Parts: sequence; C-alpha cells; structure tokens
Amino acid sequence: MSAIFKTHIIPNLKLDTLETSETKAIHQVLELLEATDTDAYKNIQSNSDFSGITTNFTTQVAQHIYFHPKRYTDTTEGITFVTAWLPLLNEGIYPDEKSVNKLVEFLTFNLGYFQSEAFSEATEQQLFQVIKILAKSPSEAALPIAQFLILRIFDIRDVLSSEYLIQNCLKHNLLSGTYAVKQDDDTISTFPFTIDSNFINCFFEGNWELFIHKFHQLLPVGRVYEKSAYDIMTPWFSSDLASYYEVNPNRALNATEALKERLIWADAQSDALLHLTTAEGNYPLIQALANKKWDSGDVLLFNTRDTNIPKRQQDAGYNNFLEWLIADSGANLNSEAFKDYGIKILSENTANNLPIECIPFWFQIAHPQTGFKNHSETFNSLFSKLFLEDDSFGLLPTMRHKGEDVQITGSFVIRTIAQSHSNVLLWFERLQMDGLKNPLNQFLIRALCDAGEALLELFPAEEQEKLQRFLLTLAYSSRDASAVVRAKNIPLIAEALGFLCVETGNFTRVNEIWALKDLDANAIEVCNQFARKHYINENRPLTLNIIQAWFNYLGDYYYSVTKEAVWVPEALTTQGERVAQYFNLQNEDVGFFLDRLVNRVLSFHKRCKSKEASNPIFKTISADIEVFLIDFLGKLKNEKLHLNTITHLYEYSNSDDSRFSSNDALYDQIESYSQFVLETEAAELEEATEQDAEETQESESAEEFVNAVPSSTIDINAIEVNQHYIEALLTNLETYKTAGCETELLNFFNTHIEDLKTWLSNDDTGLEMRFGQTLYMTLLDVDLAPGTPLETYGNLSKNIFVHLVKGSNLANSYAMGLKAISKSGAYSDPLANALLQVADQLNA
Amino acid sequence: MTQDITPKIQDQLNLSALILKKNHKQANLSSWSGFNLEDKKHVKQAERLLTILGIKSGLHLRNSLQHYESGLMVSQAFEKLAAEFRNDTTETFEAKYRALNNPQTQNTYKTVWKYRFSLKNQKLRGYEIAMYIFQMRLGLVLGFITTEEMILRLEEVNTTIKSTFSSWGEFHRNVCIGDEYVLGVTEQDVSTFPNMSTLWDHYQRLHIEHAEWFKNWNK
Repeated sequence: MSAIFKTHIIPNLKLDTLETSETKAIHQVLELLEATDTDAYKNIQSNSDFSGITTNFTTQVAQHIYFHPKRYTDTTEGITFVTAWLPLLNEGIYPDEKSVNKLVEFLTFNLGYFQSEAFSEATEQQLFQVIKILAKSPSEAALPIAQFLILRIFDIRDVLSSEYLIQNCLKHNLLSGTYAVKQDDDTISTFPFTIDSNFINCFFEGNWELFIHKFHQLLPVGRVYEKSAYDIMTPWFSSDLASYYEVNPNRALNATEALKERLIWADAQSDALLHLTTAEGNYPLIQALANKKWDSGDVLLFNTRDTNIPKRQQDAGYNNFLEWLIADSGANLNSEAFKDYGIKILSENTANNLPIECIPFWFQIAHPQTGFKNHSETFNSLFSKLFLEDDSFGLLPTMRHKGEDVQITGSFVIRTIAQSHSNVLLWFERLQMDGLKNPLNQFLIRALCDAGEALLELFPAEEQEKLQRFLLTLAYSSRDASAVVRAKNIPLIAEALGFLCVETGNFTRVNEIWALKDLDANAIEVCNQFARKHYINENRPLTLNIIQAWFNYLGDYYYSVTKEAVWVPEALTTQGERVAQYFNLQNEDVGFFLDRLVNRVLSFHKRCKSKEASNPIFKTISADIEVFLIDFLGKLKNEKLHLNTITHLYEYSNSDDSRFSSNDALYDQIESYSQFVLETEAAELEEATEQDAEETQESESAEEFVNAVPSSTIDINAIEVNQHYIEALLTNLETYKTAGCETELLNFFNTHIEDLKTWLSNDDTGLEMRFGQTLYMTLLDVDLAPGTPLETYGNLSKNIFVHLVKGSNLANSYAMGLKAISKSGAYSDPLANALLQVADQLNA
Repeated sequence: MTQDITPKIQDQLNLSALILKKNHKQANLSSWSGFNLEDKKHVKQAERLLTILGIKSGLHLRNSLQHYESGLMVSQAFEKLAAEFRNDTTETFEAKYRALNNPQTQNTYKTVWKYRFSLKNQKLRGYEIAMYIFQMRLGLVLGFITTEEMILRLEEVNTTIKSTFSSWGEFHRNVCIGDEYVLGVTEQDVSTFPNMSTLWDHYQRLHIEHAEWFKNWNK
C-alpha cells in the first residue's frame, strides 16, 4: 500500500454520506490498495453487510479516492499520489472528470519539472503509465487527458514541453487508436484518432482553421532525424483532411510550404501527407504544386512524390518543373536543388510519364545554338536514357499531353522544331558536327525514321536533298561513335533514307545509301532491300543503265563469292524475259550492247565453271546465269543479236569449258539461234548467187547497152520514162565506176522522180528492189561522198534513194543499217553525217 | 581469314608495288595490304588515302574497281583523245594545244599526243590495273574486302595485264605514264615536300631493292 493513501487519504475517508453500494465500492478499492489493515477497512468490514448489493463506482466514490487537490501542492507528493492510482486503474476504477481536470492542472503546472533531472526515469515510467491508462480508458477521464496532450503538443510556444510530450507519446504509444468521449447522456463513445469533424470538435473547439494553422506550424518542428509530431499524426490523416485541402486550395498551398520547410530543415519526407487522397482519389497537395510557379523547395518536394500517383495529377507538376529549369536563363541548373534532387525527377523516370513538352525542352537546352553549354551534356545523358535506351517502346515513346497518353510521332517532332526554327535544316546542320554520338542526333534519326513517307510532305524537295546529305554525313562520320550506337542507328538512317530517296535514276545516291551496310552489320538487310528496290523495280521502266548496272554488279557478286550485291541472283532469275522485251522494243541496233552483255555473262559463267570444284557456291551462280540466259534468249527476237554474238554463244555452248550440257533448254535455245543464223546465211547466199548470176547477165547486157546507148550519145532531150531509159539508169548506177557517171540521165530521173516511182511500182520484174539495193550501195561509196568531185552524182542518187524507199516496208531496215554504219567509225565525218541525214529523212 | 601469300600471289600483288610505294613509303610489299594493321598511323594513312579516292565503303571500293577494270577511269578518255590526235598533223595539234588555257589539260594533251600511237593497244591499262590492285590493298586495311575476294580478282586482272604487256619494264613504264597523265608531271618541289619522292625515285629504288621480283614476266 502506498504511503500517501495510508497517511493522507484513507484516514480521511468520509463514508457517512455514501450509499451502501458506494461503500461496497470503497471496500473493494481498499482491498485493491491492500489497505485491509487500515481502520477504514476494518470499519467497513465490521459495520456493513454487502449481501445483495451491487458495487457502484459513482462520481462521488471516485472523488473520494482521486480528488485531493492538497496532495498536488507538493510536486513530489503529487506524483506519488498519482502513481499510487495504478492498482486501481488497472482494475478499471477510473477517476471522474473533476479529478482528472485537477490532474491535468497538476501536470500542466509541472511539465517543466518532468523534464528536469530530478525526475527519475522510473517515476516517469509510472506517471506515463497512469496517463496512458487514463487516455485509453473508456471513461470520462480519457478526453481531458487526450485534450491535454494535444493542446500541449500543438502549443509550440513551449517547444520543449511539446517535444517532451511528443517523445513520450511516441514512447508510450499515446494518442493512437481511439479516444473516448462522454456524451450528453453520460454514455461513453469511442472514436478513432483520425482528423474529422468530431476530432476537431473535441480538440480544436470545432475550428478547422485553428487546427490547420497549428498543424502547419507544428509540421516542420522537431529534432533532425528523430521522430516528431508528424509520426504521431500520420495515422490521423484522413480523407476529410484531404477534402478540406481540396476545398481550400490556399490552405493546401500553406501545407506544401510547411512540408517544404519540414523537408529542408528537418530533412524529413512527409509522404503520407503529401499523398493525402480524397475519397474521389484526388491528391490535393500535389494539386497545389501544380498550380503555382515553382521554387527550389517545390522541386525537392515533387521529387519525393509517389510515382504511382495518377499521371493526370502529375502532368502539371512536370511542366512546372521544366519551366523552373529554364527560368532565369537556367540559373536553377546550377542549384543544389537541381543537381541533387531535381535531376532525379528525370533520371528515375520513364518517358511515358513525362509531358510532351520535354522534347522541345531538350531541343532547346541541348542544341549548340540555343542551349546552355555546360548543361547540354547532363540533359543529353538524361534524355538519352529516357528516349534512346529504353527498350519498352519502339522508335518513339508515348508521352503525356493534355491529360492523355499520346504516341509521339516523327512528324510531331519535326513540326515541333519547325515551330521555333524557321529553317529546320539549318538547325540540323548545327548538330551535324557533333556526329552520331550526340543523343540529340540519335533521337532525330528515330524521328525521321518514324515519320517515314511523311518526310516527303514535311520537307520540300530541295530540303529533302539536304536532309539526305545530313543523314549520310552522320552515318559516314560515325566511326568514332560506339558500336552500340552504330548498331542502333545505322539501320535507322538507312531506313529513313529509304523513305527519302525514292526518285529514280540517281544511282550515285542509291549506292551511297546501299553502302551504309558496310558501316554496321545490322544495316545489311535494310540496305540490301533498299538497293534491290531501286535496281530491280518492275514498276519502273527499264533503262540501259540499269541493265548495265546489273551485269556490272554480277562481277561484285562473283568476286565476293555472293556476299556483295546480293540482289543480283534475283535480277538474273526473274528479269531475263523483261530484258529481252526491253531490247525487242528498241528500234535502234542494240547488237553491240547485247554482244557485250552476252560476253560478260558468259565470261562469268566460264569462271564459275572452272572454280566450282573448289567452292560449290560458284555452282549456284552459274545456275542463275543459265536461268537468265534461258529466259532472255527465249524471248529475244532472233534478229537482235549480231552474228558474232550468236557464233560466240554457239561455240561456247559446244566448247568443253561450258558444260551448259546439263541444261537442255538452254542448249535448244542456242541451237535455235544458230539455226536462224544458218537460215539467214543460206538465204543470203542464195541471194548472192542470184545476184552474181544477174550481174553476169547484166554486165553482158550492160555491155550491149553501153554499146547501144553510149554514154556520151544519150540525147537528153529524147529521154523519157520508159523501160529503156530506166534500165540504162540502173546499169549506169551499177557500173559508174568503170563506165563513168551519166549525171544528166540521173538528173532527168531526179526531176521526174514521181513518174519513176509510179513506173517502178507497176513493174513486176523486181526492178524496184534492185534500184533500192543499187542506190544504197552508191550511198556507201566514199568516192561519191560530199566534198568529192563526184558529189553531184552522189547527191542525186541519194535523193532518188530517199524518194523510192521512203514509205516502203524496207525503209526501216535501211535506216537502221545506215545508222549503224554511220556510227561504226569506218567513215569520215561528212559521209557519216550524210548517211545519218538519209536515215533521218527515211524515218521522217 | 587471311590466306598465305604464295609466290604466285606475290607476283600478282607486285603489279601494284610502284603505286603502293609512292603512296605509302613504309609499305611492306610482302604483306597483303602493305600496311601494318597494328600501327595506328598506318591505318590512318590508309583511311586518308581512301578518303582522297572517295571510297567510303566496300561498295564504293567495288564500284571504283569496276571503273578501273573496265577502263572507264582513264583509258577511255585517253583513247578518245588519242584517236582524235592520230588524225591530226603536228600543226593542227599545235593549234588545238595553243587554244587551251588550262595547264592541266595542256599536260593531258601533251601526254596523249606523245603516246597516241605507241599506246594504241595498251592504252593506260597498266596504270589502271596497278591502281586496281592498290585500292584492293587499301580496302583490306579497313575490312572492305577479304583476301579471298582479292585472290579471285587478282587472278583475273593478272591474266589481262600479263597478256597486254610483255615485260615488267614495259608495264612499269605504262604505270608511270598513267600516273603522269592523271596527276600531271610529278616533279615534286623537294623544298616544300622534303619527304616526297617522285614515282621515278620509287621506280629505281624498287628495282634495286627487289630486283629478283621484276626479272621474269610470268604469264
């Protein structure tokens, strides 16, 4: 039994006024206090009969035990008195409101003492034990204690006491769980410690403003790295508080200020409060950050946010952050707030959380022209991590825009640049010097690649050209970039160029792009496809140049043992008929070109054959060549090939080197050619013999004729268009070399050319044909060429030839023959020109 | 995979010895490329030479080879002019020559005039093939080509060149003429290029240092 009860309280108990049930309560109390040997106890024991009586702990009883203000006059005694309550409290015998209020007065008064060294730890332990039991009790004693604690804690005028209580509350787990309130009907209700209207009513006079004000004041207070009031209050945070902030944005702003102070001075994060959520899932404090111009503190605070907050509520924050970064010409970039904290907002993030504005921001801050030189590197590495090293998306990420996830497109990126720079290409050029290792360039490459065919609309023609050169320069200057960067970007460059380079004919450019494959193995496929598309494109008309290119690249294909020019086999195996058709449609003599083509193809076939024992790959090349030859020769018109080409083919196919033999179709093909040759030869031979025969005949008749009509004796005036004179003319044309030129005769017929033509067309002895042939021969005679003494004769015969032949079915072949001959180089320029002229006249 | 250099391949590679020496004095003529791949300076020099020649990749290299092989690079232009000059008299030629005001073209005209008959058949094939092989060796330094492909190509051009010329002397003379035709007279000003040697210097040195290589014209 504690001394204080023994000496001061029990002896002074006035039991007279008590009901029996109350006396029974006192009796029980005394037993609990182990005061059975006291007079009071004995007195009750002897005088009272408790049978049938229920114990009743009334307020009066409580006051008898607990209400002894005199005991508090001496601090030590007061403490002893209070701690002596423990056995009773443990049994659920709680003081009444009046006694507790007295206790609270005592505690308030002695707060200073409790913190002194005179106050032993053991006693403190006991005292707080009492407070704890009281605070947690479901009695009217609970609320005053809780009110006392909260009032003191929130009163930072006496910061030491506040801190003292905070620490003890934490230590003894006070102000948590529930608190009990006596209702008007004297019943006790318990409420959880959470900030709601009841809480405000009980502890802050129903005044939210008051609470918020004190709350914000208290937040930053406390010792660094130790628990503080915040830790007591954390469980109290509620959606009611959140709603209050939502309705009162200014208060929310104040709260963020308090949190910033707490973060800066106490170095403590306030996650729970910052992430306070309303019932609707809104974050009022994050909202508060969204609606203001930022300072460094906001950056710090934002950095501590939970990244799982819905993106919609973070969007504005990111934008404020970006604005903060470029504010004051980038002064903030040098601040600690950025280097130690702000940087994390970007570095520990992914692109799809960030606003679309990041792209123009990056462009501005890292471009050599507009950027902040010392920081471009920082941002380049930040953004390259976000945009280039993240494999979770394809070329470009989705980003945030107007509260939505938006897929970034290449067109968007390019238009963004165009918005702030009138000349996009100039903007690119400044970057070009940095080469591929500059992440900005890598990003641009992605954008260009992503834009794809839209590039042709985004850039006018002359800029497309510049753009191609820009990309090529980047690619070819990439030797100093790392292998990883090359592997990623060279294929993209090739792809982008594939979209840009769609014009036909510029094979220098095509080759330059195709050659990107040598820069990185990853680009090989793209580049080869690109080259194939340009070299073998059935949608475009064939040209001689392309055909020539195919067979030039056949060399590369062969020498590299099929590693280079990989589309060549496709050209060989699919384009043979197309080539033949192309040549079939050419009016000009293509024999020379075809001869070279066939020779080249055969020479490679031969090489392949001779090497196929050492490397079986050569077998496939020669097989492809054979496919080409079958297709090509099968469709090509017989007369297109020169005789020597056919001979060559024939000889090759029959030679020992060739071993076409396995290929019957090809064999037959070549056979049919040689058959054709034989037939033509036979026909020519026949013609020749006929001609010989005729010639002999004619020479005889010519002799006669000469005799009959001696050249000198032809009477010009007597000439008329009849068989006699026509034959005389023909004879002269055939024999002028020996018999001399009958220019007058020729001239006569030249003036009567129409008559001659009519006469010949009615003739059925074949004179017309002979005239054509004979005149043709005179054309080719160098003795009759322009500038020679016999020029007149030549000119006349030329004129007649044109008139006779033009419009006939032989005109075309004559013209072609003349063209070929004039280009053969066998004749001097004047004659060659004259021949060309004739050919032109025939075709006219 | 790098293949061994057989005496036959060495003989074929030697067709480019003169040009290689001219462009890279420290060249090791008995190696595939002539350049020391371990030596950064050597690689840099090869890179530089390729850049001058406009060769940025294997494709560029092969296109260039194709041009040299077909005569498109030098011989065709040479022959066109030579054919014209063969019909000219001394006077008509001089008239044409005087009408020029570009010293480089004048040099070209002079060279062509001089050899218009003697090189009617050979043209500048020797020079072209020497360049062809030289460029392959350069390409090898940067990995644009493999030795396997080189062997195939060497074989072809070797056949061509051995049947076009009849001796090392004749061949090398053609290389020198070609060099002069393309680059102009190569009398370097020793005062400004103290380390430069003329092609003629290299020619002499080559025949002294590797006399045994250039004795037999192995067909």
